Amino acid sequence: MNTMPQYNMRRIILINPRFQLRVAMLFCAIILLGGALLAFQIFRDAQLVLREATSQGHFANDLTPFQLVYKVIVRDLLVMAGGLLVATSILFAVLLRRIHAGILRLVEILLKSAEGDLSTPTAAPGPAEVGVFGDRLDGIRGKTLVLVNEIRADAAALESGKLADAEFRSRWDALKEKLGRLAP
Amino acid sequence: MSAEAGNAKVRITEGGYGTRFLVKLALTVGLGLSLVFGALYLLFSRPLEGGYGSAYAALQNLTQPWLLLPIVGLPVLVYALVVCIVTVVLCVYAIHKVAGPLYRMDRVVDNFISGEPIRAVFFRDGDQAAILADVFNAFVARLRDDRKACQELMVRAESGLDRDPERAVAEMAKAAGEIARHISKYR
Repeated sequence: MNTMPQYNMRRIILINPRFQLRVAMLFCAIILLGGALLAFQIFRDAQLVLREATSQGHFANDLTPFQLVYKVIVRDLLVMAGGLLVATSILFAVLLRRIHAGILRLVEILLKSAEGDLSTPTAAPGPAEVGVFGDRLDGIRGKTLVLVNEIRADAAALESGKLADAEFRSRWDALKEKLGRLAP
Repeated sequence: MSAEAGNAKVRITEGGYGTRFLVKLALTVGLGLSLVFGALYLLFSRPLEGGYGSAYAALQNLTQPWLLLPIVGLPVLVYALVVCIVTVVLCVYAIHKVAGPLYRMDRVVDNFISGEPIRAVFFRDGDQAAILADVFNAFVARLRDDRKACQELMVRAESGLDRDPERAVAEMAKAAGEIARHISKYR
Protein backbone atom coordinates (compact mmCIF):
# COMPACT_ATOMS: atom_id res chain seq x y z
CA MET A 1 0.00 0.00 0.00
CA ASN A 2 1.32 3.41 -0.86
CA THR A 3 1.36 5.56 2.25
CA MET A 4 2.39 8.78 0.53
CA PRO A 5 -0.07 11.60 1.03
CA GLN A 6 -2.46 12.26 -1.81
CA TYR A 7 -1.07 15.64 -2.75
CA ASN A 8 2.40 14.17 -3.27
CA MET A 9 1.04 11.85 -5.94
CA ARG A 10 -0.61 14.51 -8.06
CA ARG A 11 1.21 15.72 -11.11
CA ILE A 12 0.37 19.36 -11.42
CA ILE A 13 2.76 20.85 -13.91
CA LEU A 14 1.42 24.40 -14.03
CA ILE A 15 1.82 25.21 -10.37
CA ASN A 16 1.94 28.93 -10.58
CA PRO A 17 1.01 30.52 -13.91
CA ARG A 18 2.24 33.91 -12.76
CA PHE A 19 5.67 32.52 -11.94
CA GLN A 20 6.11 29.87 -14.62
CA LEU A 21 4.46 31.69 -17.51
CA ARG A 22 6.21 34.94 -16.72
CA VAL A 23 9.55 33.22 -17.09
CA ALA A 24 8.31 31.55 -20.29
CA MET A 25 7.18 34.93 -21.65
CA LEU A 26 10.65 36.38 -21.07
CA PHE A 27 12.19 33.60 -23.16
CA CYS A 28 9.47 34.00 -25.79
CA ALA A 29 10.16 37.73 -25.97
CA ILE A 30 13.80 36.99 -26.76
CA ILE A 31 12.81 34.42 -29.39
CA LEU A 32 10.24 36.73 -31.01
CA LEU A 33 12.70 39.62 -31.01
CA GLY A 34 15.33 37.31 -32.48
CA GLY A 35 12.82 36.14 -35.09
CA ALA A 36 12.00 39.70 -36.10
CA LEU A 37 15.68 40.57 -36.35
CA LEU A 38 16.34 37.37 -38.31
CA ALA A 39 13.56 38.06 -40.79
CA PHE A 40 14.76 41.63 -41.27
CA GLN A 41 18.40 40.57 -41.66
CA ILE A 42 17.67 37.78 -44.15
CA PHE A 43 15.33 40.05 -46.10
CA ARG A 44 17.90 42.83 -46.27
CA ASP A 45 20.84 40.55 -47.14
CA ALA A 46 18.90 38.49 -49.69
CA GLN A 47 17.59 41.64 -51.33
CA LEU A 48 21.13 43.01 -51.52
CA VAL A 49 22.53 39.82 -53.03
CA LEU A 50 19.69 39.52 -55.54
CA ARG A 51 20.05 43.17 -56.54
CA GLU A 52 23.79 42.72 -56.99
CA ALA A 53 23.19 39.67 -59.16
CA THR A 54 20.69 41.49 -61.36
CA SER A 55 22.85 44.57 -61.63
CA GLN A 56 25.90 42.51 -62.68
CA GLY A 57 23.81 40.23 -64.84
CA HIS A 58 26.17 37.27 -64.36
CA PHE A 59 23.95 34.27 -63.78
CA ALA A 60 23.38 31.01 -65.56
CA ASN A 61 20.04 29.96 -67.04
CA ASP A 62 19.57 27.00 -64.68
CA LEU A 63 20.32 29.14 -61.65
CA THR A 64 18.00 29.10 -58.64
CA PRO A 65 17.72 32.10 -56.31
CA PHE A 66 18.80 29.81 -53.49
CA GLN A 67 22.26 29.47 -55.04
CA LEU A 68 22.60 33.23 -54.80
CA VAL A 69 21.29 33.73 -51.30
CA TYR A 70 22.21 30.56 -49.38
CA LYS A 71 25.48 31.97 -48.06
CA VAL A 72 23.84 34.99 -46.45
CA ILE A 73 20.99 32.83 -45.16
CA VAL A 74 23.39 30.38 -43.52
CA ARG A 75 25.42 33.25 -42.06
CA ASP A 76 22.35 35.01 -40.70
CA LEU A 77 20.94 31.79 -39.24
CA LEU A 78 24.24 30.95 -37.53
CA VAL A 79 24.58 34.47 -36.14
CA MET A 80 21.00 34.33 -34.87
CA ALA A 81 21.48 30.87 -33.34
CA GLY A 82 24.57 32.13 -31.50
CA GLY A 83 22.84 35.31 -30.42
CA LEU A 84 19.79 33.47 -29.15
CA LEU A 85 21.91 30.99 -27.23
CA VAL A 86 23.90 33.76 -25.57
CA ALA A 87 20.78 35.81 -24.76
CA THR A 88 18.79 32.87 -23.38
CA SER A 89 21.80 31.63 -21.39
CA ILE A 90 22.24 35.07 -19.83
CA LEU A 91 18.52 35.30 -19.04
CA PHE A 92 18.49 31.82 -17.54
CA ALA A 93 21.60 32.54 -15.47
CA VAL A 94 20.03 35.75 -14.14
CA LEU A 95 16.76 33.97 -13.30
CA LEU A 96 18.55 31.08 -11.64
CA ARG A 97 20.68 33.50 -9.65
CA ARG A 98 17.58 35.32 -8.41
CA ILE A 99 15.87 32.06 -7.48
CA HIS A 100 19.05 30.87 -5.72
CA ALA A 101 19.30 34.13 -3.76
CA GLY A 102 15.67 33.88 -2.62
CA ILE A 103 15.85 30.23 -1.63
CA LEU A 104 19.19 30.70 0.12
CA ARG A 105 17.57 33.40 2.25
CA LEU A 106 14.69 31.04 3.09
CA VAL A 107 17.18 28.33 4.03
CA GLU A 108 19.16 30.79 6.14
CA ILE A 109 16.03 31.98 7.96
CA LEU A 110 14.84 28.43 8.61
CA LEU A 111 18.27 27.53 10.02
CA LYS A 112 18.12 30.61 12.25
CA SER A 113 14.58 29.70 13.28
CA ALA A 114 15.75 26.24 14.34
CA GLU A 115 18.32 28.01 16.51
CA GLY A 116 15.58 30.14 18.08
CA ASP A 117 15.44 33.32 15.99
CA LEU A 118 11.76 33.71 15.16
CA SER A 119 11.68 37.46 14.75
CA THR A 120 14.15 38.40 12.01
CA PRO A 121 12.05 39.11 8.91
CA THR A 122 12.75 36.82 5.97
CA ALA A 123 12.59 39.52 3.27
CA ALA A 124 13.63 36.98 0.65
CA PRO A 125 15.00 38.51 -2.53
CA GLY A 126 14.34 37.09 -5.98
CA PRO A 127 11.04 36.18 -7.63
CA ALA A 128 7.86 37.49 -6.01
CA GLU A 129 6.68 33.95 -5.30
CA VAL A 130 9.73 33.25 -3.16
CA GLY A 131 9.08 36.52 -1.33
CA VAL A 132 5.46 35.54 -0.74
CA PHE A 133 6.56 32.18 0.61
CA GLY A 134 9.02 34.03 2.87
CA ASP A 135 6.13 36.13 4.18
CA ARG A 136 4.16 32.95 4.89
CA LEU A 137 7.16 31.56 6.77
CA ASP A 138 7.28 34.81 8.77
CA GLY A 139 3.61 34.17 9.55
CA ILE A 140 4.25 30.77 11.12
CA ARG A 141 7.38 32.00 12.87
CA GLY A 142 5.45 34.95 14.27
CA LYS A 143 2.60 32.71 15.36
CA THR A 144 5.08 30.35 17.03
CA LEU A 145 6.77 33.27 18.78
CA VAL A 146 3.44 34.55 20.13
CA LEU A 147 2.71 31.07 21.46
CA VAL A 148 6.19 30.76 22.96
CA ASN A 149 5.75 34.15 24.66
CA GLU A 150 2.42 33.02 26.14
CA ILE A 151 4.06 29.78 27.35
CA ARG A 152 6.91 31.82 28.81
CA ALA A 153 4.47 34.13 30.61
CA ASP A 154 2.51 31.20 32.04
CA ALA A 155 5.69 29.44 33.09
CA ALA A 156 7.03 32.60 34.76
CA ALA A 157 3.76 33.10 36.64
CA LEU A 158 3.79 29.47 37.79
CA GLU A 159 7.42 29.68 38.88
CA SER A 160 6.82 32.87 40.86
CA GLY A 161 4.84 30.98 43.52
CA LYS A 162 2.46 33.91 43.98
CA LEU A 163 -0.58 32.21 42.49
CA ALA A 164 -3.49 30.86 44.49
CA ASP A 165 -4.20 27.14 44.15
CA ALA A 166 -7.07 27.51 41.68
CA GLU A 167 -5.14 30.04 39.62
CA PHE A 168 -2.08 27.80 39.70
CA ARG A 169 -4.09 24.80 38.40
CA SER A 170 -5.71 26.91 35.72
CA ARG A 171 -2.36 28.33 34.57
CA TRP A 172 -0.82 24.86 34.64
CA ASP A 173 -3.58 23.48 32.42
CA ALA A 174 -3.28 26.49 30.12
CA LEU A 175 0.47 25.87 29.86
CA LYS A 176 -0.17 22.23 28.99
CA GLU A 177 -2.70 23.18 26.32
CA LYS A 178 -0.42 25.79 24.79
CA LEU A 179 2.53 23.40 24.70
CA GLY A 180 0.31 20.94 22.85
CA ARG A 181 -0.21 23.53 20.14
CA LEU A 182 3.53 24.03 19.59
CA ALA A 183 4.33 22.28 16.27
CA PRO A 184 1.52 19.71 16.48
CA MET B 1 25.59 24.25 9.71
CA SER B 2 25.42 27.92 10.47
CA ALA B 3 23.40 29.93 8.02
CA GLU B 4 26.17 32.22 6.88
CA ALA B 5 28.90 29.61 6.79
CA GLY B 6 26.62 27.18 5.05
CA ASN B 7 25.64 29.56 2.26
CA ALA B 8 28.84 29.00 0.36
CA LYS B 9 28.30 25.23 0.30
CA VAL B 10 24.54 25.05 -0.11
CA ARG B 11 23.42 23.76 -3.50
CA ILE B 12 19.93 24.93 -4.31
CA THR B 13 19.61 23.21 -7.67
CA GLU B 14 21.26 19.93 -8.55
CA GLY B 15 24.22 19.96 -10.93
CA GLY B 16 23.13 19.89 -14.55
CA TYR B 17 19.69 21.41 -13.95
CA GLY B 18 20.56 24.61 -15.80
CA THR B 19 22.65 22.85 -18.42
CA ARG B 20 19.88 20.41 -19.24
CA PHE B 21 17.41 23.25 -19.73
CA LEU B 22 19.81 25.21 -21.92
CA VAL B 23 20.66 22.16 -24.02
CA LYS B 24 16.96 21.49 -24.63
CA LEU B 25 16.42 25.15 -25.49
CA ALA B 26 19.45 25.13 -27.81
CA LEU B 27 18.14 22.00 -29.55
CA THR B 28 14.73 23.63 -29.98
CA VAL B 29 16.20 26.82 -31.40
CA GLY B 30 18.60 24.85 -33.60
CA LEU B 31 15.82 22.65 -34.92
CA GLY B 32 13.64 25.70 -35.53
CA LEU B 33 16.37 27.49 -37.44
CA SER B 34 17.05 24.34 -39.47
CA LEU B 35 13.38 24.34 -40.41
CA VAL B 36 13.67 27.98 -41.47
CA PHE B 37 16.64 27.03 -43.61
CA GLY B 38 14.69 24.13 -45.13
CA ALA B 39 11.67 26.32 -45.85
CA LEU B 40 13.83 29.03 -47.44
CA TYR B 41 15.59 26.34 -49.50
CA LEU B 42 12.23 25.15 -50.83
CA LEU B 43 10.95 28.65 -51.51
CA PHE B 44 14.11 29.90 -53.21
CA SER B 45 14.85 26.71 -55.14
CA ARG B 46 12.41 27.12 -57.96
CA PRO B 47 14.60 27.42 -61.07
CA LEU B 48 14.36 30.64 -63.02
CA GLU B 49 12.42 29.56 -66.09
CA GLY B 50 12.68 30.88 -69.62
CA GLY B 51 15.60 32.64 -71.19
CA TYR B 52 18.02 35.15 -69.79
CA GLY B 53 15.45 37.94 -69.98
CA SER B 54 12.80 36.06 -68.03
CA ALA B 55 15.35 34.99 -65.43
CA TYR B 56 16.52 38.58 -65.09
CA ALA B 57 12.94 39.80 -64.68
CA ALA B 58 12.16 37.06 -62.15
CA LEU B 59 15.23 37.94 -60.10
CA GLN B 60 14.35 41.61 -60.19
CA ASN B 61 10.83 40.74 -59.14
CA LEU B 62 12.24 38.77 -56.26
CA THR B 63 14.00 41.84 -54.90
CA GLN B 64 10.66 43.58 -54.47
CA PRO B 65 9.58 43.70 -50.79
CA TRP B 66 6.00 42.59 -51.60
CA LEU B 67 7.39 39.25 -52.83
CA LEU B 68 10.60 38.82 -50.84
CA LEU B 69 9.14 39.81 -47.48
CA PRO B 70 6.47 37.04 -47.34
CA ILE B 71 8.99 34.48 -48.62
CA VAL B 72 11.36 35.33 -45.76
CA GLY B 73 8.82 36.38 -43.16
CA LEU B 74 6.47 33.42 -43.27
CA PRO B 75 9.00 30.69 -42.38
CA VAL B 76 10.50 32.91 -39.68
CA LEU B 77 7.04 33.61 -38.27
CA VAL B 78 6.20 29.90 -38.19
CA TYR B 79 9.60 29.21 -36.61
CA ALA B 80 9.03 31.88 -33.95
CA LEU B 81 5.58 30.56 -33.06
CA VAL B 82 6.65 26.90 -32.93
CA VAL B 83 9.79 27.63 -30.92
CA CYS B 84 7.83 29.89 -28.57
CA ILE B 85 5.30 27.13 -27.86
CA VAL B 86 8.06 24.58 -27.22
CA THR B 87 9.91 27.12 -25.07
CA VAL B 88 6.80 27.78 -22.97
CA VAL B 89 6.48 24.04 -22.36
CA LEU B 90 10.20 23.75 -21.51
CA CYS B 91 10.07 26.74 -19.16
CA VAL B 92 6.90 25.63 -17.41
CA TYR B 93 8.39 22.17 -16.90
CA ALA B 94 11.81 23.44 -15.75
CA ILE B 95 10.40 26.06 -13.37
CA HIS B 96 7.91 23.47 -12.10
CA LYS B 97 10.90 21.75 -10.49
CA VAL B 98 11.33 24.82 -8.29
CA ALA B 99 7.73 26.08 -8.11
CA GLY B 100 6.36 22.62 -7.27
CA PRO B 101 8.32 22.20 -4.04
CA LEU B 102 7.41 25.75 -2.98
CA TYR B 103 3.76 24.97 -3.69
CA ARG B 104 3.87 21.78 -1.63
CA MET B 105 5.66 23.54 1.21
CA ASP B 106 3.04 26.27 1.06
CA ARG B 107 0.40 23.64 1.80
CA VAL B 108 2.42 22.44 4.78
CA VAL B 109 2.58 26.05 5.99
CA ASP B 110 -1.21 26.19 5.64
CA ASN B 111 -1.46 23.16 7.94
CA PHE B 112 0.93 24.77 10.38
CA ILE B 113 -1.11 27.99 10.50
CA SER B 114 -4.41 26.16 10.91
CA GLY B 115 -2.96 24.09 13.75
CA GLU B 116 -3.29 20.75 11.99
CA PRO B 117 -0.60 18.12 12.46
CA ILE B 118 2.33 18.85 10.19
CA ARG B 119 3.64 16.16 7.91
CA ALA B 120 7.29 16.11 6.93
CA VAL B 121 7.80 17.67 3.51
CA PHE B 122 8.83 15.18 0.82
CA PHE B 123 10.23 16.19 -2.53
CA ARG B 124 9.91 14.20 -5.73
CA ASP B 125 12.73 12.99 -7.94
CA GLY B 126 14.10 15.88 -9.94
CA ASP B 127 12.67 18.53 -7.61
CA GLN B 128 15.09 21.35 -6.98
CA ALA B 129 15.66 23.27 -3.76
CA ALA B 130 15.37 20.04 -1.75
CA ILE B 131 17.44 21.65 0.99
CA LEU B 132 14.46 23.87 1.74
CA ALA B 133 12.44 20.82 2.77
CA ASP B 134 15.35 19.54 4.87
CA VAL B 135 15.76 22.75 6.84
CA PHE B 136 11.99 23.19 7.22
CA ASN B 137 11.66 19.65 8.56
CA ALA B 138 14.62 20.32 10.87
CA PHE B 139 12.95 23.49 12.18
CA VAL B 140 9.69 21.66 12.90
CA ALA B 141 11.59 18.74 14.44
CA ARG B 142 13.45 21.14 16.76
CA LEU B 143 10.17 22.72 17.88
CA ARG B 144 8.70 19.28 18.50
CA ASP B 145 11.76 18.16 20.47
CA ASP B 146 11.47 21.23 22.68
CA ARG B 147 7.75 20.70 23.10
CA LYS B 148 8.27 17.06 24.07
CA ALA B 149 11.02 17.97 26.53
CA CYS B 150 8.71 20.54 28.16
CA GLN B 151 5.80 18.10 28.25
CA GLU B 152 8.03 15.48 29.88
CA LEU B 153 9.02 18.01 32.53
CA MET B 154 5.33 18.68 33.21
CA VAL B 155 4.41 15.00 33.40
CA ARG B 156 7.29 14.30 35.77
CA ALA B 157 6.35 17.25 38.00
CA GLU B 158 2.71 16.19 38.10
CA SER B 159 3.47 12.58 38.94
CA GLY B 160 3.63 13.14 42.70
CA LEU B 161 0.40 15.14 42.88
CA ASP B 162 -1.61 12.28 44.41
CA ARG B 163 0.99 11.31 47.02
CA ASP B 164 2.25 14.67 48.24
CA PRO B 165 0.33 17.64 46.72
CA GLU B 166 2.38 20.35 48.42
CA ARG B 167 5.68 18.91 47.28
CA ALA B 168 4.22 18.30 43.82
CA VAL B 169 3.13 21.92 43.48
CA ALA B 170 6.66 23.00 44.34
CA GLU B 171 7.96 20.54 41.72
CA MET B 172 5.48 21.95 39.20
CA ALA B 173 6.62 25.51 39.87
CA LYS B 174 10.22 24.35 39.47
CA ALA B 175 9.29 22.57 36.21
CA ALA B 176 7.63 25.75 34.95
CA GLY B 177 10.88 27.61 35.56
CA GLU B 178 12.81 24.95 33.67
CA ILE B 179 10.31 25.21 30.80
CA ALA B 180 10.78 28.98 30.69
CA ARG B 181 14.54 28.51 30.53
CA HIS B 182 14.23 25.74 27.95
CA ILE B 183 12.35 27.95 25.52
CA SER B 184 14.30 31.10 26.34
CA LYS B 185 16.32 30.69 23.13
CA TYR B 186 13.22 31.61 21.11
CA ARG B 187 13.11 35.33 20.59
